[in-house]
Amino acid sequence: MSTYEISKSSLLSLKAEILRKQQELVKAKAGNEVKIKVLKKNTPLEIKNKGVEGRSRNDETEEEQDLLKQSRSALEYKTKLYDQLSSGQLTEEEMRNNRRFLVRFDKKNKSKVPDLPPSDSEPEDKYPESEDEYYNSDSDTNDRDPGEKFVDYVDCFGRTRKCMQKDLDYLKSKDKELRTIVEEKKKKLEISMNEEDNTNINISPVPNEIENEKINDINEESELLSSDMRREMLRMQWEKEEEELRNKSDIHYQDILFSEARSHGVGYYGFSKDEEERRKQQEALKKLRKETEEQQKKAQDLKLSREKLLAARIKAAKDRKRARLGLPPLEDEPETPVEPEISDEDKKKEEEKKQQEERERILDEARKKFIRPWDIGKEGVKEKEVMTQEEWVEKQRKERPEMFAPPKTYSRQNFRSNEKKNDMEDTNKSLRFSTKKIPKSHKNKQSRTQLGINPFKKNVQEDTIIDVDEDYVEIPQSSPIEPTLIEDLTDSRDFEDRLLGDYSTISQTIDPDYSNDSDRGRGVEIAPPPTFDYYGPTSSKIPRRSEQSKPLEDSIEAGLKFLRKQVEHKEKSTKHPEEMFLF
Amino acid sequence: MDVPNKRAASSIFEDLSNVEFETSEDVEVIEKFKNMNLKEELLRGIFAYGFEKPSAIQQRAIKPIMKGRDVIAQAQSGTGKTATFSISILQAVDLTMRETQVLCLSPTRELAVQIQKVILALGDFMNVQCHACIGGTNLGEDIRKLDYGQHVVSGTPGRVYDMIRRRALRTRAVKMLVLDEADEMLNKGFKEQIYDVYRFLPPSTQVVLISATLPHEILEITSKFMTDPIRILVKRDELTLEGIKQFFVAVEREEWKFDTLCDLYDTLTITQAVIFCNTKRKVDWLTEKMRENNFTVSAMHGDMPQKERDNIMKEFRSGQSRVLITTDVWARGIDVQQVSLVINYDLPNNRELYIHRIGRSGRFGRKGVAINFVKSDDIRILRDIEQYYSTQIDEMPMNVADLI
Repeated sequence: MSTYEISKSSLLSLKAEILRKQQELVKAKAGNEVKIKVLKKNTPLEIKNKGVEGRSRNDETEEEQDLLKQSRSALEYKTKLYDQLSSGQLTEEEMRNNRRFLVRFDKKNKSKVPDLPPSDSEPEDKYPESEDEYYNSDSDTNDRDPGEKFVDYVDCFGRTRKCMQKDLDYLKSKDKELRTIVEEKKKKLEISMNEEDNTNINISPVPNEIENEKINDINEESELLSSDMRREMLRMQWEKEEEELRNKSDIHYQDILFSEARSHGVGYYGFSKDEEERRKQQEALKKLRKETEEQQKKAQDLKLSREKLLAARIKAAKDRKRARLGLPPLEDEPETPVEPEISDEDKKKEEEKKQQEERERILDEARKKFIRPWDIGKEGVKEKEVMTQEEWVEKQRKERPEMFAPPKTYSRQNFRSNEKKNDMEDTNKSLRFSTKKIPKSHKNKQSRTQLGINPFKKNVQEDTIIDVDEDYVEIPQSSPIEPTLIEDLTDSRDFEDRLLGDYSTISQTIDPDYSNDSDRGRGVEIAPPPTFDYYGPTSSKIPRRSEQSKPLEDSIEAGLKFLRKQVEHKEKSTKHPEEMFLF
Repeated sequence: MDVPNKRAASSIFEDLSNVEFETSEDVEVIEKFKNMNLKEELLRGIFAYGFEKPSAIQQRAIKPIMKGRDVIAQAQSGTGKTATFSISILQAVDLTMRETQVLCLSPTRELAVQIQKVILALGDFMNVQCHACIGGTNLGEDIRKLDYGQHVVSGTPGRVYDMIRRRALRTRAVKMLVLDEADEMLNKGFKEQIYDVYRFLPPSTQVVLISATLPHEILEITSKFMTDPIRILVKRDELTLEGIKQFFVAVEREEWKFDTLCDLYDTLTITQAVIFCNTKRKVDWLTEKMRENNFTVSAMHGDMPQKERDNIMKEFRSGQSRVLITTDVWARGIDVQQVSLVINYDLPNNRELYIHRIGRSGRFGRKGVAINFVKSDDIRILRDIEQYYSTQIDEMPMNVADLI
């Protein structure tokens, strides 16, 4: 059933080996011949007795000499004729006779290949190949011009030949001529042979007939055929296979193998090309597999049960021994599966794995969000991804010129650690500011207008600005100005190193109007400083402190009132009321 | 504890022009096909095809492709790249749905057909359907075949694009795009065609790039259509295979190349050989001249009708012809196991092509020999190639036949 093949490649290499050996042999022979000749000349065997030659000359009859002369003259005539033919110097008469020759000597001479290769200047064989393939493959070459098609035909000798369709007529006429000559000759032959064995002459007189014979094992016969013949037959076979494929809806590996010499693995199974047959074969294979698996399982089970039996027997034997010694039988030891202890290492690994997964998840999200430039414009793809505030800020930071950056001493780490310290020290947690978005944007605008134009001049139009800028998504539009906020702020504060620690209070002081009008009436709720979003604790999600413990509230309020008073007071007296916040 | 935040993640996809590309970190190595979680039938197909143990590239690249990641995979010629993506493709395909799910593009028709063959071979037990959609064939037939429903389409960009435009090839279900010989596919001549095809694919389709040579400028543009790809790369000094011995024959004049070739003919026919010329006309000329001197050779180049090209390929694959004279149309990807000798009648026009040409021999661990015919002024070029890939190209020894 199975169709294991002896690997074709190994056959091929065997053939190659044989060929090589043969060639070696031929070479060796040739070499030997030379040697032998050389030897002959020098050996004493060459030296003939006196008078031998004379005697043999006498022996030669006149007849023999005539024969020699004849053959020589015939040969001379042939060379002369051949020279004439190949050089093309022929008389009219001879031209007519030329029909006799099946070789077209005149043509042969012309097709001599030049010694020098063509120059390399012509274009290379570059793909994208044949232009018709791209964009205008509407007209297929095969369909468009029937003249371009290759067709097979059988000539009067029964050889299958290939030619362009447009050349077919010409070749046909040539073939006809040839056939008449051949047939005439044949007739002559037949007459002379008494019409006896003409059946043996294997000439198919029907040209242009398409060969329908099925060639099954060309490869087996091929050793006997000429390579051209074999090639033609193979081509025909492939053509037929392709024809069959054309009408098949399902194509499989065996269909397109086309007698390729390829070594497969041992598990290779050449399925049938017939769909029904193939299905059956696969079914059978599946069944066999299943059986094998079952057998394997059975064997395994059997082995297991035998082991158990053996163990029981050993135990029984031991018990007997013990009984003889007057000891009670051994108790069955229930096999307790040892629970694998989770070692620290395992835990570590698990943690690492978790981390890895977490990382992978985040990266995956980012990948999903990423829009490839080549995808832009496709259905369901936004032109640009909507950034989160955080991303936007980060982007702006990257774009900002170095000279506008906060001084190096203001490194973010410092801020962070300071904040943390403050948090720790501050018992009054309610001082953490809420992160209401609207007040923030409001304040952003405000402070921008104030700081950017004149930090201390009250802007009359600020309300309208607030309205305009309420929407967060709009921020990008004001991007050129936006980031300057922080810079201006910090720059202006360059000299206030002392205040670095209590950042929030500083910002509040720069922004006096803020506490003055917009938030004053709101009690505990104090809006964050304008820079909160930029330097605040990982700005993404800050838990709102809306619900605060009641008992604290009062004291907080008291504290805040105090602060406010201080602020107002200081504002009147000085621009930089630092001291008062250093409690 | 360095879980990257989103910021770090987004910075992955940045400008790449100044980056030195390296193989991605923590690429997992799986040393057995059995441990790859492949479909049962696929596994059987792999073993039936003759693979026993995965090659280096197969150990590394199959898993990430299966996972759905974009992958750029580079490996030496003849080390199983085609099988790498074919296995991944077959694992990804849903056989219950007869729609095109994977699109595989290659630069030449012969290569597209070969990939179809490999996919069908590996998926023989799965009964996968794969169509070769190439130019030079009958359009109506192509449309009909696509109409039957194909799981995988392997083709050349021109015809594939044409089929998509005609709506014969529906791209709705396509989930993976594979570019074989990716550096060639993203080169000037092809890039636009690839873009055209890509525009018809669903957004964020998985993209897999495969080639033996991946120059920097190609890696740079991958960010345009790939998302944070996993890279499996080979340094260029490791790109030539130990198994392929490289030699040169110095000739004083161009005409002497022919005589040298005739002298070598016996060696050529030991197994199978490919002779590369730089132009189609030269292929024709050399073929004629060889035949005139009673040497049996076959020839193939891009100007021949597709039918003839097919036949010559089949003859060569079946071992009927042993010596093939051809152009660079044959330089990339074509796999004929028995080819053990490559002759560069002309030196290739760039370094990449050299790697691809000599890579036609020495397939999947077999031995191979490459012989370069060099005129005195070519020697410099050869030395440059030698240095670039840190390899060794010696003068051809007398016993070259013993090395095949």
